[in-house]
Amino acid sequence: MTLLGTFALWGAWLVGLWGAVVGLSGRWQARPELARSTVRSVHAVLLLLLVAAVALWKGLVTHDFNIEYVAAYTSRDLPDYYVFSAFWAGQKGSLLFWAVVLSIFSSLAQALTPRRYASLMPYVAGVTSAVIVFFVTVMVLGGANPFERLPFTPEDGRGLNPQLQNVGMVIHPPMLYLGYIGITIPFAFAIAALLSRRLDTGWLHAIRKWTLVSWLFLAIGITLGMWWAYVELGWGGYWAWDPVENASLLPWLTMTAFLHSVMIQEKRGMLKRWNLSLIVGTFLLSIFGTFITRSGVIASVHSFTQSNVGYFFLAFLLVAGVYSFTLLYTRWPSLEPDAQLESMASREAAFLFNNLILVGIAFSVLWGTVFPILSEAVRGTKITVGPPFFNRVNIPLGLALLALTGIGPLIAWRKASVANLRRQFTGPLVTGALVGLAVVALGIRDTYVLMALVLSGFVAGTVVQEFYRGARARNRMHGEPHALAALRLIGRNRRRYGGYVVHVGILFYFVAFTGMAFKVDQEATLKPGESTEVVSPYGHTYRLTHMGVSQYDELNRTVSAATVQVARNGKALGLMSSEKRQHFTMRGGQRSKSFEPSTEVGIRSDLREDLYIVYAGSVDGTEEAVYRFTINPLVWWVWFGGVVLVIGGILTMWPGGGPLPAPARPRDAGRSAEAEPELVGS
Amino acid sequence: MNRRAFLRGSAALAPLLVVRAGSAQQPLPGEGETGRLRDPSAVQRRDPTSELDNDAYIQALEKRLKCNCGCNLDVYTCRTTDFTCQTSPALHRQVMALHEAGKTADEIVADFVGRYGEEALMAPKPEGFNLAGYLVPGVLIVLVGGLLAWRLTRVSAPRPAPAPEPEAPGTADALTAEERALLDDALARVED
Repeated sequence: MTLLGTFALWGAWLVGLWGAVVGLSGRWQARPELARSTVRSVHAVLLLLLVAAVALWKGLVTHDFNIEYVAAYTSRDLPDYYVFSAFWAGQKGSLLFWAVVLSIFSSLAQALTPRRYASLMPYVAGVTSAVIVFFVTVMVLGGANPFERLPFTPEDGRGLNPQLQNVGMVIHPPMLYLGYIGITIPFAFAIAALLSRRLDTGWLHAIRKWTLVSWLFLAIGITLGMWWAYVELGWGGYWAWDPVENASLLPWLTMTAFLHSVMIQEKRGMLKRWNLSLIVGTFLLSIFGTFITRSGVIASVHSFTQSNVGYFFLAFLLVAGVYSFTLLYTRWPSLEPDAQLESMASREAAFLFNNLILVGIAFSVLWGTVFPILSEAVRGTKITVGPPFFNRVNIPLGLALLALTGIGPLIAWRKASVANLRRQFTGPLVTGALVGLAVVALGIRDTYVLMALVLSGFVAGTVVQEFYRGARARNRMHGEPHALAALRLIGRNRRRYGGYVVHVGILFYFVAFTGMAFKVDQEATLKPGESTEVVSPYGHTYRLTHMGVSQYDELNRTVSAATVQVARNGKALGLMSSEKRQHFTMRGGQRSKSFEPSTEVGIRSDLREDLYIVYAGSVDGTEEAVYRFTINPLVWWVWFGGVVLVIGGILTMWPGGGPLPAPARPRDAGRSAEAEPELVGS
Repeated sequence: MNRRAFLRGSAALAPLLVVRAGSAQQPLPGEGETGRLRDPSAVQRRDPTSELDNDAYIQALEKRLKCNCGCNLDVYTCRTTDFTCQTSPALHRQVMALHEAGKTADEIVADFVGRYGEEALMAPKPEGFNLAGYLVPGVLIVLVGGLLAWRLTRVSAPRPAPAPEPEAPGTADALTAEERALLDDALARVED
């Protein structure tokens, strides 16, 4: 099977190269059979990469430890679902996974894109094939072939890193990859539009679903990553501004900016250059993220896979960046806006400032991430840029973004009058002020927390007002109950109201983030039967009694479980436990420890706060346990916000019920692609 | 108590009953003398914590200092998270020693910078070249924002023709949510 897998990779490389060269050269325009061949090469590459994927999975499932990758990331006693997910646990497998998923997306894009965009599709095939060829090149020529064999066959594999043996890691990487990979399709359409000079809004319509899909998967991937870090890493938080975390946030931020600014191009024919730059930038940031993750050039707690392939990504990043922006530059004169902004008090202006802040946050995160390298290059001094830096720079920007989240929907397109502004803003401003008074009455004085909660109230007021007014109108017209009217309102304009639901999700994130300002940490050393007390920010007193440590064997590990009896304000809440897991593998019939003992935290979660228990270790090999008890307010709202955001995203992209077509205007950018004459590519 | 905690607790306690039946030497958790673990090597060895470990002042101070084991975490987070790390407990002991010697937080931080270099700080000091790290994003945003505002003000300056009435600017998008919903609905019925 490894031979088949390797042949399949080489086959995919050759066919992909054909598709890339023919597709990007534009020679297919004079020869329809070449155009068909380019598109078909995408499907052929998919078939070949699926063969390679099946070959690797077979090696994993059959424990073929002669394959270096299988031996490095699995063992005989690894649970089946982790054997399955080991496909993307390591560098080589994840590169193949990336290529396979991109290939699936490419084929789907070719199959699902309406025929009216047919003249773009060979270019799209060319771009996606070029990206796939790059990934396959890294595998077959960059020393990352997942089918590489060992000179001997070990009795058992090394097993999977215990921190990756978590259900979050089965789902989180694929979600993140789907987001990263999905960006390639809008990028391919952007390049296709530039190459073909078909720079109307046609390509934007063609990528609408793809941008939403990749944005949504990135959001899911980031949130799952936060959840994994919270439940698995044991430090009591979910976001540490680690370079790898930052790398996933960057394309999400620029994609979010694009999802807003694209509306301006669709409705007013403005920001064409900006939107193309955002799509190209987002793609480059997704490659940059991969470079950060793979190269180890910047230290990260998440860098489970580091090697020299990072420099392949750096080279690809440079080539793709130079090519894309040169192409954009050559088309610059064709990208004149069709209209001008008419007023500062307009939704276009609000969206522009929203874009400024989103891209500004992305820049500041990127700047902070690479600043240690820059500092070392300039001063020769190594420095660390950690959470204190990012919080100082980004919290004010985040608050500005939160404010614009509420402001944008309240302002009319083109120009809003004072009366219009007064009518729209009164309700949300009053809501924000009331929230502020309540927060002050509760004794909260932290400036940032106060501002975040006030602005959250303002955004909530905006969303509720929008839903209420729309539902009330339906109620008056049809006599529908308000709840039904609200549901039908969403159904009639899913993009708009789905977007508001996304805003609610973002709002929950912000509220949850404020909770971290009140986090309480306490360590304790307890013998069985001894207790300690922890006071939560809400004033509750937790009494935590150490019950003892039990040790037992499970499938591939020895578990040491420390159990704590929990009572809050004198009322028993039950037992919680935190574990140490010592994983082992079998060698020569003997158990051999494979990793250092890992920690499994105990978490009790409710709407207000999480009680987070970490069994740090034992004193002198006895049941006398050292614990860290953490109380994290409002963490539940992060996960709930993620769910709401996903629901909003799905609503937004759900087929049917789309927006009304934009009214035709002179020189309108909304001309459909089929109305354009066939143009010769570059 | 949530289901997860309950299941974990149950799973953790169940084998203890078996152990008790088979071995009279092993006390049940929560009873009698502190028992020895069956396999002490399966758990990290820790020193007992002290009152100072929970001192908010010490915690805040250690969150300013980076552990140099390569973990990318601050000293406090590393020593209370990565229990395989030998470096952060040693750095913690240094902090405690300096604190007990009467040094202030800033003096302790300066001592760490003197020993381990500027990399010992979780965030660079806002001075010299580091100021670029702190200021460049904000300055750029303000500059671009200012430029944007200036241009918007220019392009939206009074025009020869009077601006249309804001209540009826001529597009569906300028309507209020209520008006928009009415229009959407009416058009949808026409389409049906």
